Amino acid sequence: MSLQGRLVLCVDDERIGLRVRKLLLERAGCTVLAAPDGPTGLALFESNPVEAVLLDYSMPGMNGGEVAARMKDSKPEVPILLLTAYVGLPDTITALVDGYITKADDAPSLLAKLRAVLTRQPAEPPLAS
Amino acid sequence: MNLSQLNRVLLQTLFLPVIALVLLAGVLTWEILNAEKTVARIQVVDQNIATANLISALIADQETGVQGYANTHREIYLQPFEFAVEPLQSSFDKLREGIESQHGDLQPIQALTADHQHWVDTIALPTINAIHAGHLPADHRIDLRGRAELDKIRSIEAGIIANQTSQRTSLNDDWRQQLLQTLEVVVSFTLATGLIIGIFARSRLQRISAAFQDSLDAVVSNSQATYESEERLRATLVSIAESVVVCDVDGRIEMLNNVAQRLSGWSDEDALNRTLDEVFPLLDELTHRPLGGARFTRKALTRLKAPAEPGQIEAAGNPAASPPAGPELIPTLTPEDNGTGVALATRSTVFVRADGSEFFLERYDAPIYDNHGYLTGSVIVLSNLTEQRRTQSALLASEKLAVAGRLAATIAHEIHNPLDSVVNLLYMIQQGASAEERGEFLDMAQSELSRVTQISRALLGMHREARTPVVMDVSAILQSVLVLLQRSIARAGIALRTQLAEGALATGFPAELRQVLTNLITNAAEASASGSRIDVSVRNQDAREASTDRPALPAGVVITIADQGVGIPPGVLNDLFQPFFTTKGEKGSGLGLWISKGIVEKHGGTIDVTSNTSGPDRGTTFTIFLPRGSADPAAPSPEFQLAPSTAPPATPAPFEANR
Repeated sequence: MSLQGRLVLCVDDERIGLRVRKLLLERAGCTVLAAPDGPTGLALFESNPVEAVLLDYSMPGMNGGEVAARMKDSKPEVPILLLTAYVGLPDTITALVDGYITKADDAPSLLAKLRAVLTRQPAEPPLAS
Repeated sequence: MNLSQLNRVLLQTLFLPVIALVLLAGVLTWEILNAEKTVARIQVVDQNIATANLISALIADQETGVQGYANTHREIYLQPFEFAVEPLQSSFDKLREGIESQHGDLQPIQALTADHQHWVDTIALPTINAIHAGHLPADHRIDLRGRAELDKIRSIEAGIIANQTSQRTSLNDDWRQQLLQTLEVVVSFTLATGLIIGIFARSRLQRISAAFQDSLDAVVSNSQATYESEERLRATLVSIAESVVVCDVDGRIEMLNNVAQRLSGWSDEDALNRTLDEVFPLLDELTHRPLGGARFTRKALTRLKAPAEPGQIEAAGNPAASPPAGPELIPTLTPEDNGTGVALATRSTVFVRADGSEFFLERYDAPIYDNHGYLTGSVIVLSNLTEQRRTQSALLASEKLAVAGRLAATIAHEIHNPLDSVVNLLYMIQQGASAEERGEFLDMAQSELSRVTQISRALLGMHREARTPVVMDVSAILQSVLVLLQRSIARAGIALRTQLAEGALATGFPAELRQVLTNLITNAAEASASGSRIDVSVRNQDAREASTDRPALPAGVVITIADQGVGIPPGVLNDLFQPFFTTKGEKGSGLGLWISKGIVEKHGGTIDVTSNTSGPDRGTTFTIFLPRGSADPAAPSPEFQLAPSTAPPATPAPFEANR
């Protein structure tokens, strides 16, 4: 299915990375909300009908795990994909989110995973990547 | 009982009989003198009797002479009378003296003398004169009166003789009595003295015998103890896990224990009387020069004595009481005295066995002295550290891997972020973009790739390692470490404040210093909570003379790394630099700080830690001091020529593959 018109929230402290990811998703047809840190991301998540979240794990202040937990508390049906530069995240975190993406993977697989979580929602088991 | 007590007892046993004999001699002399006095008195009495008899005979001669003259009128008959006059006079005197000397009664002798004189004057001389004048002696009365007077004289004479005779008898009895008494005294004294000497000697000899028995028991028990002690030492030597070599005073081998025999490949019998150098050719670990034989030998001591450095060599005991100064003088190697009173000399050595296998041995030399303080030989203990060295290198390698792992995670993160952008940018260009967009995307990709290059260069700096120490700019090295770490620190919400002085130069191995700094800064970041700060500073320290309230400071570079983390409890601080000590559970190898300390000490520096677990100063501060480096890189500071024995050996930098 197309990503056309879908409202996606991107949270990342990497300024250029966030900007490039926003451009990429917009070119795929998404409407993108961008936040440079966890608290801003949470605020946008609460105030907008976000359909999916691309969340960086490693961020100063509030890290991705913490942000994801709060989002799931608030709207558990919204799928979250965790972005990480590390290999191997704690199990408590992977169990919380709907999938994770290793940074510097190719762009099509990012888009494919986003598409998959958007298609499967609402009540499907998390995608094992 | 000691020798002086024994001598005293012997003297007592000798003197008592002598004293007894002297006493006996005294008593005997006294008795003999008494007897002699008695004998002298008897002699006087005998003489008195003889004199009295002589007087009696002389008076009888006079009487006969007067009688004969009266009867015959012949002058020749008068001769006895006249001849007796002189002797009579002297005899009277003699008798008087004799009786006087015995304090006897003088009255009879006075009466005798007087009566005799009377007889001479009234009878004898008138008769003689009458005859001489031609008158016949017709008067019987004169004759009768003369006879009566003479009878009286005779009775006095008899009295004197009887008196003297009775005295003689009495003296004779006295003398006999004295003789008996002397005999009794001698016999009883001899018996008593013998008895006393016997009893005394017995008691003294019993003491000596008891003391002798004690000495004998002590000797027996000592010899037993010596035997047991020797057995203990022998068993210890045989069973000990170290190689033990015993050398004589000339450095020739007297004994090899089992371990030493196995290690050297020499049997005890074959090694006997050979030098240590033949059996264990040991090389100095640092210089690889042969170390030679035993250190404590007569010859070595002579050599040691020659320079006569004050404080290095001192004679044991009082020189006045010691034999003349010679090579046997005991040197005390004060710098190597380990505090146990045994002078030790330790060396790290390498031993290459005949079959080519190489061993790392720690060598301890200890002198053996006899009870007079003379060197009699030495013991050389060779501790085999080969296995320990292998384990140590394995540990160092594992810690290097751990450091590499920690860095790899950081680096992966640092590289993946820009790469992620580049991948996405390339995808968008690939999917079709306007010329303007393409230009923008390529610029962004370029910028992200230059971040990767920067990280990669920092890594290359870690990889390159000099084999000889170089002059390093400590601030620059710290900066290069921070390039790798600062983003992850920032991402953890930790502020980083740096104060890096310019011209902070030290001599050493940059990669090793980077390893230490990476380790300490990573530790600080792991201990810090989000919102806290890490302060990193590099400053120059000028040399300072010691004053009353401040110690001296050497010139050098001081690096401090201070976090505001949870702090380290005081009880744990002391163990911080020990190997395998970690507060991070399974995440830490426990070797990081141990290796860091070793590296800093290898650079001739120090590493200290202070920590507070509460209050406004909460956190931990590590302070590293490195001595100031020379501007000439070809002249490294002398510390590099001597690796400290307690520190781990030099560690190659992480990621270094080909060493």
